[in-house]
Amino acid sequence: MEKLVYETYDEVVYSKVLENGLNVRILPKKGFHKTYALFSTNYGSIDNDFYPLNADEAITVPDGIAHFLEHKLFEKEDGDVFQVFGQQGASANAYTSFTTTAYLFSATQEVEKNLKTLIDFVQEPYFTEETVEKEKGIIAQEIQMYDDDPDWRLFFGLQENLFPEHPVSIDIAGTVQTIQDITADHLYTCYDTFYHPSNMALSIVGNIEPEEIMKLIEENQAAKTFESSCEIKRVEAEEDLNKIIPRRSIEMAVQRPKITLGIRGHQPHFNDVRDFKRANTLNLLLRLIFGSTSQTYLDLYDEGVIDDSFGYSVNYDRGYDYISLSVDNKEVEKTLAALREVLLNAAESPELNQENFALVKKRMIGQNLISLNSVEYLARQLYYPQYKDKNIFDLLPLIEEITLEDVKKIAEEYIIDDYLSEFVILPKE
Amino acid sequence: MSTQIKEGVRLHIFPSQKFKTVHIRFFFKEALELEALSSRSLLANIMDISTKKYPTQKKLGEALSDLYGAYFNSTASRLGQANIFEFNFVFPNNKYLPAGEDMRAKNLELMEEVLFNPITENDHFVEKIFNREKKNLIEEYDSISDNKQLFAALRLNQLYYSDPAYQIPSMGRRKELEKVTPRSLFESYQKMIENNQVDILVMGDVCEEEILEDIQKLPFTDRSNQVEQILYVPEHKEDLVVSSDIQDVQQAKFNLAYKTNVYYLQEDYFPGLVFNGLFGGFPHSKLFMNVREKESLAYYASSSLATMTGKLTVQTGIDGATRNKTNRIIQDQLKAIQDGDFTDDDFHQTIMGLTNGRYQSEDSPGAYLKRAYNDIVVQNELVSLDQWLNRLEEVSKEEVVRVAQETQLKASYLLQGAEK
Repeated sequence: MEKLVYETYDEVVYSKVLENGLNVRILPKKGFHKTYALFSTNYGSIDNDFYPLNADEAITVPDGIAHFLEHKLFEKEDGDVFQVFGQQGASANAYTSFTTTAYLFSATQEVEKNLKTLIDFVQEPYFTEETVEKEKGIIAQEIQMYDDDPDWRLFFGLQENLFPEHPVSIDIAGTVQTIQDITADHLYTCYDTFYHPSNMALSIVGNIEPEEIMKLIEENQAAKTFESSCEIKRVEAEEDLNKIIPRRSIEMAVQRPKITLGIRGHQPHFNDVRDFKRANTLNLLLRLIFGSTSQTYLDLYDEGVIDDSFGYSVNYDRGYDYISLSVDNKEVEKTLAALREVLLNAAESPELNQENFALVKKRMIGQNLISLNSVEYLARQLYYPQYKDKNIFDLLPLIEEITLEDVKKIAEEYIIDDYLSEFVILPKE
Repeated sequence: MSTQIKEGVRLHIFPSQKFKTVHIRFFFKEALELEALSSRSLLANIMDISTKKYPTQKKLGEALSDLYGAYFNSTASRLGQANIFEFNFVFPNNKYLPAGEDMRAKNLELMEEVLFNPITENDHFVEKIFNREKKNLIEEYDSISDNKQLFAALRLNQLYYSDPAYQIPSMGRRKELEKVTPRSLFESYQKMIENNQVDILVMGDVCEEEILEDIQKLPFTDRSNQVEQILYVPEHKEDLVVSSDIQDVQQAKFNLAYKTNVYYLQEDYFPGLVFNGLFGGFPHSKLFMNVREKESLAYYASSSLATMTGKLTVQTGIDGATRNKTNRIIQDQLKAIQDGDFTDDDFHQTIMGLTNGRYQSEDSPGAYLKRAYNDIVVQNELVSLDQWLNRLEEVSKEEVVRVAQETQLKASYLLQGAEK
């Protein structure tokens, strides 16, 4: 077990890759009551085309299956694991994103027992046709709940525009129709392919003794047999980058139009820490131009182009990336024109000056520090499948290395009209 | 440590070495009034973005960035029979800043500037800022209906309460906001800063003497205004109030509101927490197990308590066509608890879940300070972790059954899509 000491942050991380390939990360937090454990696999909603374990031919599975699997993994022959966590005083949960599925609990008592429960339930799948059928009603309600959420629809609408041929344009939960095709066999196929320990990580943060916790995990894993690990083969989407949908709108029961625009990244990922740096350089760029220290932001606010509903984000995940702006405003065309103008001229923006840069960086350092209060946040940042041996404490100093020149350079390279798209939700009459 | 700084101004410090931040919250309390809900929301929006020295978001943003991303916001909210205006400051702890830069004096200066020097002209708020923020707040009111869960919850409140000061959203509404002027808003500010009861709560790795010394430098004055009773017992009609709306939605929202005797830290409080936990507060609860797991009617089906007003609500997202079935199942679950039809395991699991939640809130400065303030407004002092856990442990099954039996359905609301 490797002990990594981070004096600047007053934190120690314990790290080990087990024989079966499982990545374990432990961060003890003195004085905390809570322990938070996160067991995650590098598998999400976009992994729909792949070669099943030991198979020679690729298959395509129904949309929404990773999320469906997440729901069903909680159900066992003798009942629901949710209840077991409850009986042990823990609260459990799980989530599925485009690229990750994760199972978690937080507990202030019986941490070891709950940890065993977490590992065992994720590593012992039990799917039957009957229980799969029953879940369809619940998930259909979840999908319809999101269908009624204008902010989700806005986020997703832009993603559909920017990535028309990429599976990231398909809703994480699938649709009410696609989930009807899911069977127990499908779930086993996906499980066997993507839930091998070598594709997974276990992070534990909280009031714990690292040696004891590591021993427990190692003993638990040594008592189980796994197929020897082999590389997971995904079928990458064949995309024509020129096929971006430049503009689209839908109607919903909203009071004010909801407006978003974004730019798709068009350079391949490095699959190492350079991606982290690139994502954070983009983040700095948007903060410089659209953050609270910017004159541009103030002008847009004073002109009524933006208000409190305004937001910007950098989305940089396995295999895709884009930046986006969003705002609610009655005057759709005027708003789009104003935001487009600022965004497309980012490289020449007067906001990209040393003074503003120093302030924005200072702010970012403090905000990163504030986020380290949260054990949930820390658990998610202890292991990144794409950066392997680097955790958040290794990566934070990289942000400080970013220069204003880096920001200017990325603005020139990234922001290109051809990769821009706009999406609007109009009030339905 | 609790200290009286001035008459009606108290400072409470909770030292803790767990966090990388220092949290300082100022709570201003006055009696709830219908009109003030709107004016104090507007006041919060203005005070969030400007001061005399930092008249624009840019100037204020620069000042905050210079304090290493220090953060503050102001909010107005309803708490039982009171309106609470809050300033919430978060400062990165000096200890972790480059070269151990000492931000103490600068942090104090920011707090004084934000609280005591709003930007004004001729004894009223600046027209330009006022008009823009008023317009923005109206837009915000209009957007409430975009969030269907929130919209349904607010409609239920309207049906449940009879007093308009409780019926309308806590952020206010257009009708009252229209009447607010730059001058009347400045009067609301003066009333707040000069007359409201103030509690200042501090959490973090701090030196108590230094904090006391700093806070004493702020120009607070004596004040005598008191909100006598914070807990609110609403009046209800005999009959159940039922209503529904049709909107363009995929999923229907079916919500219920019940009157209870469960009030914050009062006699039925701890049995009430257990009752709510068993009914719809956890994944092992009756609502989750039956509405969701057994019948697959919903993705979410839960209950929650508002213990400043004794209200219990049930919220579900369902297919509108299953409304009657869902309603029947919910009523059956309440009946079961009223009949004592729950197992010892369910009971203990609920106690454990509540215990876990209580411990967890100790790890979040936000949750800790919010609870600490509620304790202070209701009974002037904190309930310690041990006291809290002991009182929970003492809850009996009989008490839970009694609390459930005293629960009465008062309002039912359905938001549904047009028939397909």
